[in-house]
Amino acid sequence: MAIIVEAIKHLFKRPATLRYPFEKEAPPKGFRGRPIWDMHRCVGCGLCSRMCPSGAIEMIGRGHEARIKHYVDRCLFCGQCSESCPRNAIRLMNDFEHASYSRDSMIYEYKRES
Amino acid sequence: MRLETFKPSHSSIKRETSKFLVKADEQPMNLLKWARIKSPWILHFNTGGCNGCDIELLAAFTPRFDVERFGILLQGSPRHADILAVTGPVTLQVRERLVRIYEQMPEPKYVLAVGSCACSGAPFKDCYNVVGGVDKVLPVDVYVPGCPPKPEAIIDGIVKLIQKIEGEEAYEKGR
Amino acid sequence: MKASRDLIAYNDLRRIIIDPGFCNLCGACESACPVHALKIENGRLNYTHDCTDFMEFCPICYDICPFTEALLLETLGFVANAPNRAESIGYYRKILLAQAVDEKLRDLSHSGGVVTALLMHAIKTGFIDSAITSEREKETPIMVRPLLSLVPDDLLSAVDCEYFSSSVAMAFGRAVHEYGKAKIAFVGTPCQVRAIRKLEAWEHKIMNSLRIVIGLTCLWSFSFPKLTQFLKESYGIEVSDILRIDMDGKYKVSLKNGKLIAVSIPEIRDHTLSVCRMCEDFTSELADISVGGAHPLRDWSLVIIRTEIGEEIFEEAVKAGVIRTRKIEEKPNVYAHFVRMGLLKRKYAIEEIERRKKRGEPVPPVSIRLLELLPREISLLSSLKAEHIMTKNVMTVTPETTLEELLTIMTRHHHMGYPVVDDEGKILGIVTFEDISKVPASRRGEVLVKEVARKKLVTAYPDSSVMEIYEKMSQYKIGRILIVDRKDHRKLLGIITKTDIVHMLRWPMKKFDKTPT
Repeated sequence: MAIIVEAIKHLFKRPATLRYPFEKEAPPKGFRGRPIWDMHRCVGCGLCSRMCPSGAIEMIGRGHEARIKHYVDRCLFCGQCSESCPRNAIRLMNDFEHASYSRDSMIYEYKRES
Repeated sequence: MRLETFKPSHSSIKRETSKFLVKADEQPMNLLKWARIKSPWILHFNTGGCNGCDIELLAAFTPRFDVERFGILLQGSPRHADILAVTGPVTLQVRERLVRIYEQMPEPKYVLAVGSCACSGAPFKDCYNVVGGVDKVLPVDVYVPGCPPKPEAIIDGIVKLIQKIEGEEAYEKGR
Repeated sequence: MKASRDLIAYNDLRRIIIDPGFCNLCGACESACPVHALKIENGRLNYTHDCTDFMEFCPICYDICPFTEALLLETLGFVANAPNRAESIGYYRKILLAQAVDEKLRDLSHSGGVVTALLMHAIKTGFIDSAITSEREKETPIMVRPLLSLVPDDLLSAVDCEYFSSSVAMAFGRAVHEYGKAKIAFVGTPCQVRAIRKLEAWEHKIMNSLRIVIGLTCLWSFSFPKLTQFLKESYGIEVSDILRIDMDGKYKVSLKNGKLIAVSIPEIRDHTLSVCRMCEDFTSELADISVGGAHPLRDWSLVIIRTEIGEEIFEEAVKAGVIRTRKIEEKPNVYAHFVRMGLLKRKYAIEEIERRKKRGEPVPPVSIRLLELLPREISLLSSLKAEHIMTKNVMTVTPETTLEELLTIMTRHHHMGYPVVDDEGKILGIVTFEDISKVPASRRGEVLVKEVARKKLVTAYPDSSVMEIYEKMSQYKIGRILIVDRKDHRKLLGIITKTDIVHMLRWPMKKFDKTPT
């Protein structure tokens, strides 16, 4: 009985579908998206690279000349790199559309502008 | 031919060019292609993952995201499917079964790697019982990273895959 | 001192700070270490595991140790926005006398009770959610350990005067990681304040939780083993017998059994920590608010406000009626005593550093900076001329001014030396703070400036380079130099103080205000 009432009620409501990709909704606050490095704050200690559970971060060089390579196809978006960084140089963005045709386009490189 | 360029180097399966797609300006070919674009049917297969990606893939079929708007149906048999959506890092035990399912699918077929494990193996990459990533076994068309990827991200991957299929058609048309 | 830095800071830290015995166990390195490799236990700093397992390069523990030369310029940036700067006081906005309105707090702290009242009010209003102070240990009341105060009543057990160093910087790290506090007030001695400021300058992520830094005035801390031995040998008492120590010209040691022992300063000075002997910071020049005793007043404290946030929280407490204030100009002898202590500490520090250098003994890198300049600083000074940086509107005094009036002028304007000029504006001599100190306080009302002023002057011409002037000042050990006209040596054109030069070295881009305050 109740289900018929529910069904009639919903007959006159607008559809609940979010028609992605024509309608997009912002992810909730605190969403763990792709990490980005602020190279001005990075000291090149290598903690993010060592702590990453899937080895998605590669640090080339050391100290202030360090460059960071981040492999999104291996990234778990767990946030361990951001947590370990002693200077909060890593922030997680809130994007999630990373689908791509090849794995090579999913590598991001960060280096300090001199 | 055209289809060969989408094959990554890891794959051990050679994609055979379908004899049907040689002539692009014949009416029946366009109709089939149009049907494939407007209504690709998916077969989902889990190769040893944690089920996170499976739940998100399933969530894409719920009324909130409703991927059936694109005409997508979830099929039970590889004989009926266009797209194989693979989740999980491929374990050694499931490897030959995966290949067998892929071989049972009729041409043209596409592979969608859903989740970071399917893309590259993620944290299980060097484990003793894991091959590490679907593209070591099958040729992958679209990678959707995430752990798990949001249903919107999966839909984004499907849209990119459909665009790729359309792109094939546009290329064929231009020839 | 050190040619190049090791990739792992701990190797440098051990070689330069820990092995020569310059560690005061503040614990900043323990809080800052991202892999928790350092721990303070049993009165020592322990290296619990090899940090190279996790990292191949890390500069942290060396950079933030208060006794190294790293980040010193950046830490000054926290207080250098203040409009005023004076000898031994540092950068400041206001100096005043204050006391807690509640008499119980004043009794507990044996002084003005300002820090306790300020922090209690701040916790009540929610400006901070916790404060890091120190408390006495039960069995040995003279020893202190850090205390994290979460409610206002916790602050009642916070200690008033401490003579041993407590690991408050370590407590700060624990408060952030284990207690999850996000608005912390930090109370510490000048070296501990410097450690916290270095952490802030390094932009370590635990510093997001720091709200305000309150510095105490400090002459030195004692070394526990040395003091224990001294007391046992000279007086036959154990450290655990002591109830409290008061500093009043001499060290008055009160024992638990009621007896009182007086120990003079020279006797006890050999038993301080070796880094304290080379420290020149008396008033915590990097804190937001500095608080010290206003000797000889018993109930009042001297408060130096340096930053905007210090001003904000202090004004709020005054408005709420927890603290009452008085102008420092009303008590010039209090100010004089305060400045004298600071200058004394600096004098002892320079003597000790020179003594150690002569004997080839190690000196902590932060203290070397007191004596030597970096090459780039030397080249900067050589390229500037005196006329570019001298103060043209010089404050002068007439020969008939009494020393008491002069002291009032010094207290109001905070300059330590004034040239003495006659009615035509010709220079007769110069009178400084030291000249006043030589005359006892009772006679300062009668003695005139012309009796104590120095007639032999050290002067320079407007076109001499600032490097020459700096060297002259170091050679004659004076704090200011008069710039005179080449043709008429008695005509005063301007004045340059050592603080102007040092200020310019540390902050060459900031145009400092030349109008007399």
